[in-house]
Amino acid sequence: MVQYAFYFDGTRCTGCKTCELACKDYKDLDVGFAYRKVYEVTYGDTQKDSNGCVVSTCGGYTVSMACNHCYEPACTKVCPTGAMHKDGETGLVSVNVDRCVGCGYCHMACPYDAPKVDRAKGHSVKCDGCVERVTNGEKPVCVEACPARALDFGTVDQIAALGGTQANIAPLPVPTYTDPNFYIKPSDDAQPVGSADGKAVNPLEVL
Amino acid sequence: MEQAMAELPLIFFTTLAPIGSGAFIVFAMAFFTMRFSDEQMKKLDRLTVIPLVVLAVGFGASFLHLATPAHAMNVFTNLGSSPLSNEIFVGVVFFALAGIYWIVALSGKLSLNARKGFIAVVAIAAIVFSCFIGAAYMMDTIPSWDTPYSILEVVGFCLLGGSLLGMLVLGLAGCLDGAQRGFRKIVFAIALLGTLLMVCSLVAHFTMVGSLSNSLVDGTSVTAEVTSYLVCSVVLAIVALGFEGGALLKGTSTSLMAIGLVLAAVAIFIARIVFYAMQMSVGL
Ligand code: SF4
Ligand code: SF4
Repeated sequence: MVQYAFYFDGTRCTGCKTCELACKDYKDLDVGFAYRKVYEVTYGDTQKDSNGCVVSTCGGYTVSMACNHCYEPACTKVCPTGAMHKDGETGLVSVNVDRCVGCGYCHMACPYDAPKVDRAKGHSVKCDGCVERVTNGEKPVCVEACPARALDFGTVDQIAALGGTQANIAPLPVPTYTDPNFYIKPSDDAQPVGSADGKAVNPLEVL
Repeated sequence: MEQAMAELPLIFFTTLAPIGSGAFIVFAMAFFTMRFSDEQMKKLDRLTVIPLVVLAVGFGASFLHLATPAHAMNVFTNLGSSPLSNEIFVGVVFFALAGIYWIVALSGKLSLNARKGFIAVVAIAAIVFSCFIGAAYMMDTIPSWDTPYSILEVVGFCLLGGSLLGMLVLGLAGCLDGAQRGFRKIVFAIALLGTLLMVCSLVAHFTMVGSLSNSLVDGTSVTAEVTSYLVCSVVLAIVALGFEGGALLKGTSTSLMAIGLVLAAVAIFIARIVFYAMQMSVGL
């Protein structure tokens, strides 16, 4: 079995969200649904010190993330129907729409907020790694759309060799819960997991 | 809070299922401590449909939560590993046990000893069902739910709400005339234990969630939103217990019992709103 992984280069991302929109367009997603989301983190403040000089501790960065097709997916563990499953060949995690009851347990359990139940469609929906493109030798739409070349996709060995570390910066949880196939090269401003400064500041957009 | 309201069908299910199943615990206590005439027994058996209807409405509500109820038969696929499969399985087993008990009892073919044995199994299954309802929410990626309080709360609902529903049905069947002190004490003890479990677990759970935080919210802002709900639920549960105590003192007051039941059901409903509003992921 191969295992695919995503790569995110925080030193290249400008936060433009082309990846998110390219995915929405390709997957024809309605308002309220996005398989890839760009999380924004900002922190610090700017003040005048006693000499009247302006000093700032502000920082900010973005994290673009979809489903991480984890080694130990939280979603498949709780799914009662087996609809949410990890493919034996590609390691990609996807929903078998003929089995899904739309109970929303995968949505609750995933610490990366990847799956979501689309009641109009009657089942859970999420990133499937553009499996049909990947089997054709192409990369997922988001990766090819990124104007800054901040995203990449490949086998986990190829991706791990790019120099990032397994998803380990805020606003993500520690990678031990699901062993995600997501590697990040953090920008200088990136905060460690759990940092009080590492809150996602665009919740209305990403949830 | 918005998040909790989106779970309305589940709020109904987790309110009604423990109450409906808990009634059978009181029936068991009644059969073990009191003797009924054939007439009383017949009437009680007919009215046993009430807790079954409460359960059925609860299950019906849970279906509304599903996006594709037509695929419901698939939910047993991951029995053993998925806490949701386990919960639904135990629930269906309980419903079947209680339903079969009711049908056999109605047919008049149940000897007193067989009845005692059967109802004891149903009563134990009721507690097990409540435990599985609570356990369905325990997953390591949702630390705000991954606590034994999730289970203890539901067991509390089952004992408090169930004792009130059970006593109301017994009263309506005329089975409480001259009910022995011993039986009344046992029922009150069950209700008291239920109230204590519910109130103490809720408060402890609330306090625990207040100490959590993730990359979207701090637990304190989550708990601040539900504080007034928590207070309402706790007060209503205690008042419901008071009504049950009052009814038990007199022995036969079905009206006090009915008021207590409504108050308890509202208290449990609000406790479930608090529970769903306290969902906090370890991540996003
Ligand atoms: S990121 Fe979430 S949905 Fe994707 S495999 Fe991991 S747990 Fe499942
Ligand atoms: S919504 Fe579908 S895929 Fe998700 S846990 Fe429920 S049955 Fe499984």
